[in-house]
Amino acid sequence: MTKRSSKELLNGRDLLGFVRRDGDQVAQRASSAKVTTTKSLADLDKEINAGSRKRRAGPSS
Amino acid sequence: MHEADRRDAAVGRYDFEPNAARAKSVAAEVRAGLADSLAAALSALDPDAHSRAADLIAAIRAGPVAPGVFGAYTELVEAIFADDADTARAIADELAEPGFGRVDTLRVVTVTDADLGGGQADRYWRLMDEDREAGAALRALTPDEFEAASARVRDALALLEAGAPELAGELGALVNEIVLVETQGDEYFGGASSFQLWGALFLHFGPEATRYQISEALAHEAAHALLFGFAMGGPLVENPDEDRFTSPLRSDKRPMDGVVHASYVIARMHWWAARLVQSDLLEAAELGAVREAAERYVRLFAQGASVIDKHARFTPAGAAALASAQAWMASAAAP
Repeated sequence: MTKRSSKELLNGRDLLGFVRRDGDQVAQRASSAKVTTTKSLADLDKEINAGSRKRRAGPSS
Repeated sequence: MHEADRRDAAVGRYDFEPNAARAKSVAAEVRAGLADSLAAALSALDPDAHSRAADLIAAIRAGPVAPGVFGAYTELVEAIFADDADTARAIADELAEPGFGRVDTLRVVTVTDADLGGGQADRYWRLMDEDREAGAALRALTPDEFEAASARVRDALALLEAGAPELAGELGALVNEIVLVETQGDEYFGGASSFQLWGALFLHFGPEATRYQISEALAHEAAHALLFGFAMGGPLVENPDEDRFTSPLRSDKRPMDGVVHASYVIARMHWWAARLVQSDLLEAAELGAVREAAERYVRLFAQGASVIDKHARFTPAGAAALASAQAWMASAAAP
């Protein structure tokens, strides 16, 4: 009997913060688990005043 | 039964107003899920790895653990799925170290191994670095910077505790590390949360930030932490990640999950503003600014809700959370 790999043993399990793609073959992080960024009131003001000024921050809410 | 206990007993899982007892319940559910998933991952790696981490798994079920435990779990699963046995075993060894991931109370820290534990600073940066631009633009605070900034965070926490104790209690139940970071260059970064480091609240503010602005950022990120908990780290919507929509807090288009997060958080910031205005704790200039903010949040929430109404395909948790936020904002807009 061939020993099953750790990945095979974990396939199909519900894993917190991960979603299954392509059936049970690959677990990926859930999109909502990615980072979110916030703005202070002052920064929000700046952006509203600046219109479409492009920010270079993390993937945010 | 005391009045506060009666109130807590009547709180539903998705009720909008902050509540520490509900947050503790959500946190316990998330930790139970983490304990189950970590046990599964360690067992898949090696039955011995599971037994060696038995104390940690019991601690996870019993009470709060450091965000680094979520981080180690995330990297363990990723190593297993990458067939990287050496990395997976190294993480399993780390998880088995006595005392790993244990926490006592809410701490204010920066991203150094001295604050977070051996090897944790690199892990925090890796998991914060979903967007390479954001990760590359951040650094830990120097000791002098940290001393000054942590004092200002404590002032903001004190304002929350006095003016919005429900929110302060919820934050205390969901967050055990406020992680202060500094930007490099002129990149914008206000703060961040990640389920992969659940319990960590990343925060940056400049020298001009006031106590109410810092408390607003704390309220904002605590709301993300609650949403992550509601969904057990999963999405709030079924819309594909690739589909992008206008977001009320971003000039670039975002996945629907981000739009729902943003809209809920805006409603929470409106709640924060309303509560602080009622508190009589704000000075005149602060009061005017927070009132203006509340009006702005009404407009921003309406923008987000308009996009959501047209396009969102909710999960049950997402639908319930957003409905509670909509009810709050509807009552706020009523004459």
